[in-house]
Order: sequence, then structure tokens, then C-alpha cells
Amino acid sequence: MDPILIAAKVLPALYDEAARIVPAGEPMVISFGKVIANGATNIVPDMVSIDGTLRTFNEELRARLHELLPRIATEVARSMSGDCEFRLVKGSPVVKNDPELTARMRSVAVGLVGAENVVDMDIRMGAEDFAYYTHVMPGCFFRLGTGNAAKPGTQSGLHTAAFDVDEDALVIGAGMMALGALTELRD
Amino acid sequence: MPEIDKAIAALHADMIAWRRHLHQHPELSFQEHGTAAFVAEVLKAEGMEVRAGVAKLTPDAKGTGLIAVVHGEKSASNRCIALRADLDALPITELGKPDYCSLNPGVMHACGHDAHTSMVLGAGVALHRVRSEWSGNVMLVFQPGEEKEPGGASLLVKEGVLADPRPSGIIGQHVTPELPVGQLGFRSGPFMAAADELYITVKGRGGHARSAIRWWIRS
Repeated sequence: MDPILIAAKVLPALYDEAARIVPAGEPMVISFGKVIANGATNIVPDMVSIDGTLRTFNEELRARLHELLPRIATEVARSMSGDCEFRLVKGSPVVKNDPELTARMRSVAVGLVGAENVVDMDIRMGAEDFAYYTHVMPGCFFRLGTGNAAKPGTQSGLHTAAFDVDEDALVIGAGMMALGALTELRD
Repeated sequence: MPEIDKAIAALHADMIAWRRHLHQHPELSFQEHGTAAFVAEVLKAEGMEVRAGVAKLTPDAKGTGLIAVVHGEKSASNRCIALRADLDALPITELGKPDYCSLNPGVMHACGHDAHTSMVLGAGVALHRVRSEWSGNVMLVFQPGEEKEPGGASLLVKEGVLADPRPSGIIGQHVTPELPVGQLGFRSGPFMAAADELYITVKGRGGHARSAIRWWIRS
């Protein structure tokens, strides 16, 4: 069977199945950003490689998807006389900010930049390997504003070629770190 | 403590210089040899001790992570808190900055780790300079490979180097263009997602494109 046609069926099957088992209100993203079928106008290749990412906030859902996704892909491929290898590389877990430590850091921030400049943020589908620390000790991961409409690049997104930071933020980030540390060491 | 505020403010120009140096010399995940050497040099110049070579990808690899502990000298205390920075850059070709564009073609600090490193350096140096004013220990954690599995953080946790003294907690930060400079963003509890990589190889039967539909009908 033409592997490109199989891949064209595997992808929506994965997107659909993943979406259907997610409990209401539970964040989940599955995205495939690389699909390589290295044939030509008149050559159908023997295989198609598909690379993607799975983002979750719930370990139970994560484990269920780890079991389900390879099964779906393989079943679809086999139903079309093909086959599929599914390799899943487990990445970093959820970044969980310790509520008490985070509350203390938030207070430090209020002292440093004023309450009007301390923002409560929503969850992010991005990942961060800081997560590993937060599963062995209390952690607080915060965001430092570095955007400035007057400075080129500083409003360009992370991971873009034009990205830059407003270096005025360096004293704020360093101050936050130093004052945060001293707060934690106080008796 | 006014001393620390003054020490941080006095380091602003240094932090900009450090950040620009790192920005011009970006290195990919787990290859941060020059970056680690630079961080060690800054800390040693302040008279601080550095433990280099941690976060090893393989048992005999030279780890590109480093750890330094700043000791407060006001009174004896075993308390410890960790401050974390990440060292690695990304495989992106930078679009010119006038003064401090990447000198390593195809590699760029496009995720702000140059700033993160510079700020933990600034915090560490400032705390060291005012060490007579506080008690306890601050562990500076400079980890490699944030952008790439298995993640430098997981290696440091596995190697058990976040000990002696053991930190009671860890603080990390990330720059964001979504907030204007001057603002800080917080969230209690789950903040960022678990991420897994998926690699699928779909196998079928290729051949001349004229035959593909025929095979489909036959099978």
C-alpha cells in the first residue's frame, strides 16, 4: 500500500482519537510538525516519517495517550496493508510551582516592581525542563517581561530569528533571584 | 536589604556585557563548553569556587553544567536555596543585531538563555559581594541542554549534585516578550505542560507513481 496514503489516514486518526478521550476542560495538544515522504512526482517511497509532540497536564491522560496513539497508528496502517513503527520519547513532566514558595516569590515581586506590575498567568502548553526539579523539591518558575515596543526584536517571539530582550529587564530578573533567595534564607 | 539592591544595580553594565558575550557565542545543547568556561571565569574572578563538569550525557562525557555555592557569612546556617539558569542556544540563523549578533553561524540565543545565565551570574556575584549581610547558602545552578532531551535538569537530578547543602527549593525564570519590561508573571501549581516526542514511521510499498492506485485497489 502507498505509504503516503496511509500517512494521510494515520494523521487525522491520531488527532481525532486523541481529542475524543480528553476529559472536558483538560488541556492537551498533539501536533505533527515534520512529515517526510521523500519520493518524487513519479516515485512513491516505501516509507513516510512523521515527527510530532504531545503536550499534557495530567499524568493519567498522558499514560493513556502513550498506550492509545501507537495502537491507533498501527491499526490504521495495518488496515491498509501497511505497517507502522511508533517511537515515543518521554520528555519533561509538568512544571508544578509550589504554592507556598510561589506565594512568597510573588510577594518579593510586588516589593520589587509594584503590585500593578505583577501578572497572574494562565497555564502554558510550552514545556520546560525546569519541571524535573519541581518533582524533587519545591520550585517556582516565573516569567520576566522583556518586551518593549521601542526596541526592535524584543516583541518578536521566542525561537524566532529576530528575538531579542530588553536588557533593562536584567536588573529586575537578577534582583528577583537575589531577593527571592534571601527571603528563603531568612529565619 | 539595601546592600543587595545596590550590588545588583551596580552590576547592570556587567550583566549586559556578559549577556552580549554569550549572545555572540551561542552553543547548542550539551555542547556548551565555551559558555560553561565563561561562567566559571566570571565566578572565579570574584573569588568563588565552581564545580564544573556536571550534567554528563554519558558516564565519560565532560559535562557542560556547573554549580557554585555562595556562602552567607553573617552567622552559621545550613539553609540553602537554588537559583537556576540554562546555558544552551538554538539552531537558528540570527537576523542581524547591530552590535552583538551571533558569531556562530546557524546558532542563536533565541530563547533568552543568555539573559537567564547573565541574571543568575549577576544575582550570585551580588550576593557574594554582600555575603557579610546574610546567612545561609545560595546554590547557583547553570545547567546545559534545556532545549534537548533528556534535558540537563534531569541529568543533574539523576547525578544527585543538588546536594551538600541540599536546597530547600529552587527558583527559575524565563524571559517573555508577551509581558512588557518591568512586569513579572506568576502562576501557582501546574504551569507548563509535560512534553513527549512522537516519531512515527509509516511503512508501505513504493514504486512507480503510475502503479500506486492499482495497488490500493488490489489489496
